Amino acid sequence: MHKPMLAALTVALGALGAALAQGSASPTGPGPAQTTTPTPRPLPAPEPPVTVTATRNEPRALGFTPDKLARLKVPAGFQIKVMATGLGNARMMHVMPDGGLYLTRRAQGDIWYLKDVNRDGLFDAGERRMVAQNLKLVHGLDVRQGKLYAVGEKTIWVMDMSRDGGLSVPRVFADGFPDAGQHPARGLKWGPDGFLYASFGSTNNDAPTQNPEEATILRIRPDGQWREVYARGLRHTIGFGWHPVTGTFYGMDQGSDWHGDNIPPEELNVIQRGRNYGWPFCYGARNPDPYTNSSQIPGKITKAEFCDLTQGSLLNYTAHAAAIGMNFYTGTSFPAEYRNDAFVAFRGSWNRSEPSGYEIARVNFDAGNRPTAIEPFITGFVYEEGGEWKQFGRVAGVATYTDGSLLFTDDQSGVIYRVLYTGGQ
Amino acid sequence: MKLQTKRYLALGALALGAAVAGGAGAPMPLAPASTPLSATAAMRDPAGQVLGTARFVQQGMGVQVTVEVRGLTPGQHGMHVHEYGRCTPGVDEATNTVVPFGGAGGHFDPGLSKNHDDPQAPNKYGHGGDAPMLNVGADGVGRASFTTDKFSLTGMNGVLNRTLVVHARPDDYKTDPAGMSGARERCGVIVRDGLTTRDYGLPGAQDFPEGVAYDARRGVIYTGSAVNGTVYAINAATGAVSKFQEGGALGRQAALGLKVDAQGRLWIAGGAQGTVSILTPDGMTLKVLETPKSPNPYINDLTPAADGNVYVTDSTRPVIFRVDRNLNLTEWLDLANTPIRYGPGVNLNGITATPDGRYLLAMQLNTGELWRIDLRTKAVRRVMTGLTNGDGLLLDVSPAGRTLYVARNKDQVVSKVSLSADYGTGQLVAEEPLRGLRFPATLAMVEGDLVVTQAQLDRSMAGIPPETPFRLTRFGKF
Repeated sequence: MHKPMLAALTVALGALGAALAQGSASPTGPGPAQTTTPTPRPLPAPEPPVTVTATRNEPRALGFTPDKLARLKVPAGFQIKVMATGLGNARMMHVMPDGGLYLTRRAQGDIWYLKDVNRDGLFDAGERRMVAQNLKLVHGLDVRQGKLYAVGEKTIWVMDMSRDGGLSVPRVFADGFPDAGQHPARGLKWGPDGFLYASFGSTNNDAPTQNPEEATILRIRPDGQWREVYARGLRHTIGFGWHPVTGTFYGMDQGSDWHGDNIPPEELNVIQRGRNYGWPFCYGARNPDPYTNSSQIPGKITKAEFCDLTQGSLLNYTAHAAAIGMNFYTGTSFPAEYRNDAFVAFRGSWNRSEPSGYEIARVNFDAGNRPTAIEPFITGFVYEEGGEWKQFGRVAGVATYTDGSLLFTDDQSGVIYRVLYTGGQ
Repeated sequence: MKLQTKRYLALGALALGAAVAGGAGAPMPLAPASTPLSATAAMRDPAGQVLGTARFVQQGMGVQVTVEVRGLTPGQHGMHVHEYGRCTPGVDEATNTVVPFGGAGGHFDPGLSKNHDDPQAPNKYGHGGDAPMLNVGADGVGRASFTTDKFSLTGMNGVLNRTLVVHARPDDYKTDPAGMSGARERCGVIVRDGLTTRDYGLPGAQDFPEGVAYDARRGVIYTGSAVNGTVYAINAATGAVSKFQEGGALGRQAALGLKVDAQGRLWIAGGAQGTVSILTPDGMTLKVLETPKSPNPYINDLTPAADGNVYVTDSTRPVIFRVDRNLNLTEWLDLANTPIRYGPGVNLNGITATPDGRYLLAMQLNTGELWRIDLRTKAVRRVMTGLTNGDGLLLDVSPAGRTLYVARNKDQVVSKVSLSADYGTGQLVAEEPLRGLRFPATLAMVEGDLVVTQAQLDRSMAGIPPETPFRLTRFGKF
């Protein structure tokens, strides 16, 4: 006897399928708001010449000194403190329930474990230790079921965690990811669906890339073996996460350089499976970017047609501000209006005439848990003095501490800042 | 360019047969379509007003054409069959501006001659769409009636769903690209008479749909891009399209043959990546199987068989792979020890299994041979020849008989083959161009109908733009 598998495939299922066809939902939901049929052309579509004025303006970098704390502006009722300095290229953090903190140092390629054992509000020298090393360009990290996962240039590693914060020798969890090029800051988080999500920025500034896994968020099987392109057209979405109440997937994307002071803006996107978020040809509300080379559009369709196939942003922020980390605030020590809002570290511009970023911003969600605005939260790292722009902090990682205070890093001077709410006292 | 005369001399009597036939290759064996082949083009001016008609009636390998168009200036007007089935404004390459009827594209050129010539030139040396000029009288009415074997309503030179375009000026029958015939004044899409089909359109500019499979339990048709691997799910009832999985991840950068297994999982032949991917019913990659490393893999199609295994063809490496129930991929049959001989081009391609669990049927595209492979003894038997450019297969077994439908990509037809009870011999029964097919690659059965992909991969390979929207076409059995 032969099992009727093939018969089922080719012939017999007809009647059954007809019965179920009506009720079948489309597997990935509705597509983007496409209004045109893209028409491939024999030649690239002509576009009028445009001129851009771009300004490289890197503020003079100053090392952190305690006297500069007074320059930082925090909202009324908040206080800012320093928990550690001299940590090197302090980038992303993960806070454990017991107050232990894992910190990645991208330039040094290692992971540190910090714990304020004596509860003096400082990570003293004796409360810091390196727990993993030789991890090239290690950046995003997350914890699941007693294991720490971290992503570097082309590799995701997994490490067993011990109770004292120690880590086993890293093992390769997944490999063969794209080259890093210009954007080596990878993001990584476990999703609520049990899959691992990791973001891989473009190797370049503003042209299509050869490796289709670049400029994407990839969704990786729990065993690390295989993955899919979850979303593309994301130039450099380092910080991303799921809203604690709605579960909606948000990401902050960095727009192209050298397209002027205000184009393209930084984007807050709702990340949906299978969508293209437009980079390098479109920004914001599916606006064609006049400064990208249109002859490289796949299929030689017009830029407008290409953008019509993409997904627009939900909110925009000042161009070149350069979002790095993003973290939903789930603590309780801040006023209730902050709960389930997101904090974003904008590391700061280098190609804008008036610098943008160099600040921690708050993504304000309304009572319906919809984001309504991105507004500055901690500012003052950058300032003009005597006709010269100066900065003393390149902020990167953001995390919620166990007491509900907000932690963020400065990767230039290796500082961990702590923001507390004291307004009630 | 006028190349034809010299070529005729050079070729002499040697190639006379091919020259007279006009086709790009050997004449294909003629089997009838399901209804007599005729077509009509309503000839419109750039404002969309119908000002004439062209009629096309198949005659043997060629076609009888009758044209009547009003409102033109007296004198001779160039007239040609153009590549695309649309009378829309489109790009004139010389100026890269949009001109009336530019959407019809350049002259239909099935022989890839890249040369404009006179209406008697063989297609190898001149555009297949080069027709005689239209003579317009003092009353502004142009009439023409001619027979040509440069084009046809079926086969490689088929012009269904292409356009007939009348130009403003006479055709010098030599200057590229259009004989100095000037602006496009009238355009009509050549539409098959008396046959209805249903198209499922796709949203993208690079979709090039090669594979198709149907999940009857969900009522969903899957198709995938040969160029970027994106897989779409189409609601068979409504035609609504959603992305099932974005292409581009490791091992998922191209999608060729597709099949749905009994668990609702989608199997994807990965082409030149040398991979076989399996997606879960929610569209996530379950596994990517890699064939042995090779400079030239070409995993083209696959089929589940009644034994629970999935069999996989490779068009460049003479081997059939097998994936067992535990998703282990191994080399199952080394074709070197069989009558199947691999040559240049695409070899084994479409594959299907017989419902009795005894055989595989596999199509060899470059030789046109259909093979039967015994699943138990691995004995290989040639079922038939003559199915050149045979790509995807669909086996329809009913009490009435065993019918195999073959998508024949460059020939632009779906062939119907009647198989013997043991699948050991076959006979070509009919060939359907439907309403015009552009590189039909693979077939699936959907609620008793057939669905064929129009992959347009020949355009991708020739470097000419595809016609959008890309589509799959659903039609009744014939």
